[in-house]
Amino acid sequence: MDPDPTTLLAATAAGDHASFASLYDSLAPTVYGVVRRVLRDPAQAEEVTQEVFVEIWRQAARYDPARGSVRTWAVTIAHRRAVDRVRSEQSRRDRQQAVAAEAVDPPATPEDDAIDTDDRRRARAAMATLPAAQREALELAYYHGLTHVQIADRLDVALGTVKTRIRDGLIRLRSNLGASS
Amino acid sequence: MTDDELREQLALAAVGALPDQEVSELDDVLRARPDLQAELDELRAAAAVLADAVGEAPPPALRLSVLGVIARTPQLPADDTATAAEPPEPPVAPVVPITARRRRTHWIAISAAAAAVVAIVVGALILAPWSGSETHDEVAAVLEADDAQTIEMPETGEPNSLPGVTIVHSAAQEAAVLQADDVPVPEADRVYELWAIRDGTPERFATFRPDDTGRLSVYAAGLDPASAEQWAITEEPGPNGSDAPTTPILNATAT
Repeated sequence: MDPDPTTLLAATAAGDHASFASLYDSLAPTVYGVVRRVLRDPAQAEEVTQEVFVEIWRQAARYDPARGSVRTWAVTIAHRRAVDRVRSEQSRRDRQQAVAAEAVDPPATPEDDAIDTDDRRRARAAMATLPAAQREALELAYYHGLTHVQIADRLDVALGTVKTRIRDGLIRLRSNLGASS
Repeated sequence: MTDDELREQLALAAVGALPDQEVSELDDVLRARPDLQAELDELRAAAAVLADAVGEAPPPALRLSVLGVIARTPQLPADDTATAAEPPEPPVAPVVPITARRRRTHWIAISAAAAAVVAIVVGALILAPWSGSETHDEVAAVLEADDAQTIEMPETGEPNSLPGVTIVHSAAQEAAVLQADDVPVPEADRVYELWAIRDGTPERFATFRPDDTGRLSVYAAGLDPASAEQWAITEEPGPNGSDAPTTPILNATAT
């Protein structure tokens, strides 16, 4: 029987290494997946993934269940660190050109590496229900680490349009989550 | 800013599309608006769907690297006198570059005073390199045992990983033999060290060196592969190795 992440994190906060190792096993594919998607480079993705798990270990006693699930907490930390890294890289080169050349859809993950879990399938199904414009704006923000101004430039639309698409897209994902949970 | 405008900011914040300056302004507002903070938390849960959609198994050796670092990393207490702003940056623990494409870094043994104690296995063996006949019979007894089982210890991709390492274990002999034909010979003042990962923590098990031709055939009494989650090799200062890994993992069994 797999203990749930909340139980594992509580034990981790008490210094239990074995529980942390199980928590790693549970969260690592999602954490590494999002970090890898944002950073592209596998070596950097490994470094940042490690930083994320060290932060989870250090901050375990400060997790507040009222704020959301352990998984959301971990993903939020991971995404923030990955975007921070991307933005500091961005100051060194012109990333707009690179972004313009990339496809908006996530690249296909080799089958060996993909996690064929219910979570992943449900997530992809949820994203497929989004109108294309909302999905595109969300992906440019979440996977490419672009700011709202950069997205507006990229899509050649008004800033307000970007904000509306992102908000509406997230709300639709949120209600989708509620329906399937 | 109106509440509607704030709500748009929340959505942007949830997907990381706000530049730092605006994040910090939003944080100031959220401190006084728990209703908006709650909404941000929900939007973050929705954004996590985008993460789930791209889940991907990390390299297996990353697990070992993470467990090694946290074994020497202190945890923060629950009490937090800081504000709801970003937690302070932890000291950066040097990372093991698993794919060996970037700079070579080393684990640093952070002061053990506050960190979790790494248990030292009582009776950690110091194994002599295979050179004499006094161990030849014992090695043969394991290799030729009816119940001999072979476990691979693949290279992690680090420079100087040991090619072709296997552990041959015989429960009847209550021993194992660590073997390889052509491994890098460490400097005279360095050794290889074998670690048993238990409860997520590397525990020292034994140190060893190949002979001058790079051949390893090391008899390890009491080595039962099933007694640990994973086994790993690093290079350490000789002659006695280290209490905790100080260099990147070179080889590791599967978990």
